[in-house]
Amino acid sequence: MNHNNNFQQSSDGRHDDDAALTEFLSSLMGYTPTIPDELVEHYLAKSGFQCPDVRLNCCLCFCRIRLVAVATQKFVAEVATDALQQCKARQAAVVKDKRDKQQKDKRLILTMEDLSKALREYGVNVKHQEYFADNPSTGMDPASKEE
Amino acid sequence: MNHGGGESTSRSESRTDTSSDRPKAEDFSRAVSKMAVAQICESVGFQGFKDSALDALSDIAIRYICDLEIGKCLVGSGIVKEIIDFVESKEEIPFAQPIPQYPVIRSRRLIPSFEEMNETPPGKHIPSWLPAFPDPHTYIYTPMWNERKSDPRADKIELARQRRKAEMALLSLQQRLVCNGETGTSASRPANDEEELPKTGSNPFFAKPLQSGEKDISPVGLPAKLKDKMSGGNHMSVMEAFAPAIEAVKVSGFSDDADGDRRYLPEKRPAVHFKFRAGKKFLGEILDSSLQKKGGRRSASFWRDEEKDDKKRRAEFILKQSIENPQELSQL
Repeated sequence: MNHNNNFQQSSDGRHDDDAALTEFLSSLMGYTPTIPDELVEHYLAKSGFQCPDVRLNCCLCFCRIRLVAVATQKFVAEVATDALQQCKARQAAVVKDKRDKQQKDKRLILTMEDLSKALREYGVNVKHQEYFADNPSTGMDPASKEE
Repeated sequence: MNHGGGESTSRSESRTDTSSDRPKAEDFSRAVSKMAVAQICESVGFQGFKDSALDALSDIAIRYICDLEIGKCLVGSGIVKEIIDFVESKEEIPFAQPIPQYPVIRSRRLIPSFEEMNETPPGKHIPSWLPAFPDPHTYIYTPMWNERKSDPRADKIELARQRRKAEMALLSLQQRLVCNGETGTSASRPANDEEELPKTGSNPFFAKPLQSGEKDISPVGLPAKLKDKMSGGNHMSVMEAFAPAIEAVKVSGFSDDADGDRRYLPEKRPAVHFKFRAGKKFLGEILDSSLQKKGGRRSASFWRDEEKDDKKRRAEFILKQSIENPQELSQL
């Protein structure tokens, strides 16, 4: 269905696209994404996206940066939402066993377990080491993924 | 915004201590992304995070940014629509501004290249556009040199020059005295120029101002004793020039000149006594005495006599000093 949509759009001409784009851009300009522009600019520059003067000269670059920031924010929010659902599901499952835990775990905490489950649907494999026998103080988890 | 339990914060602290001492370039952007992701998760509904989970998610977010392909035309794809929906839905929540208002991640100061430093790279295998090597003083102990410029040869030359200057002064004085001896009242400074010009070269500033008829005046008749010695030319030793004076000194000793005997200088000069003082003070006294005497009698010619008298006295004093302390000539 997406494919059909694409075909339709290209054949209908770009008026709709332009209208949608301009509408989107206008809405985009009024929205400040949570991910700051400088961070996005930094990583875009790393991957080869050149933008000499972001705000002054090229409005298009600025739009691109904002677009990327918004897209990333959307992605992270989705992952977080999924993880949240996982967390809630886990809590709901546990509550059946003990009533104490329900009162304790009212706080929703993002854990590796929930995150790895949520990311698996996006094709990201995050491995989490259960415990460290030698040095329990170190907490850095190696995150490996395949996209 | 909470981190999941105290354990995670302490873990993060210990981790930073043990992992690496130096902050790397990526650390700042990683920290920023971590904050942004945490903010997003908070807006989703989380109340706390495990450190490891937050790190993983922020890392994934960074990779997402890097792997986004901007070259592709996003317009035709459905992603844009999704984003639009997302934006519209997200706008319901108030804008979560990231906490740091950070200026810029960039601004790097590069090490200047060999070309910029105008240095040639030591080694043909090193191209000149590479950054220059650090200066040797940064890694080798180089001794500090005392910048006092004491050149013994130059000092000797300077000393010799001063002695020559003193000698010249004495000679000129002697000339003047000789002339005074011959002609009592003429205000002349003959032959000084002859003496001085050859020595000082063609420098016009060293030439004494000649009075109009000075050079045409008939040559001064020198006393017989001095004539023989002076005929030789410009170069004569101080002792020869002052020979008569020296003899006079030896014979009669120095005595003060009488006040009345000023108009005509006797050929044979009486011995003059001088009180020995420092050179400067002596000269100062001479000037004072000349001024004092000037106050008494105001004829110009007579004042000139006073001047000559003082000069004569000065010369005799210098002579005596030179006899007794030959090495102190340079002080003149």
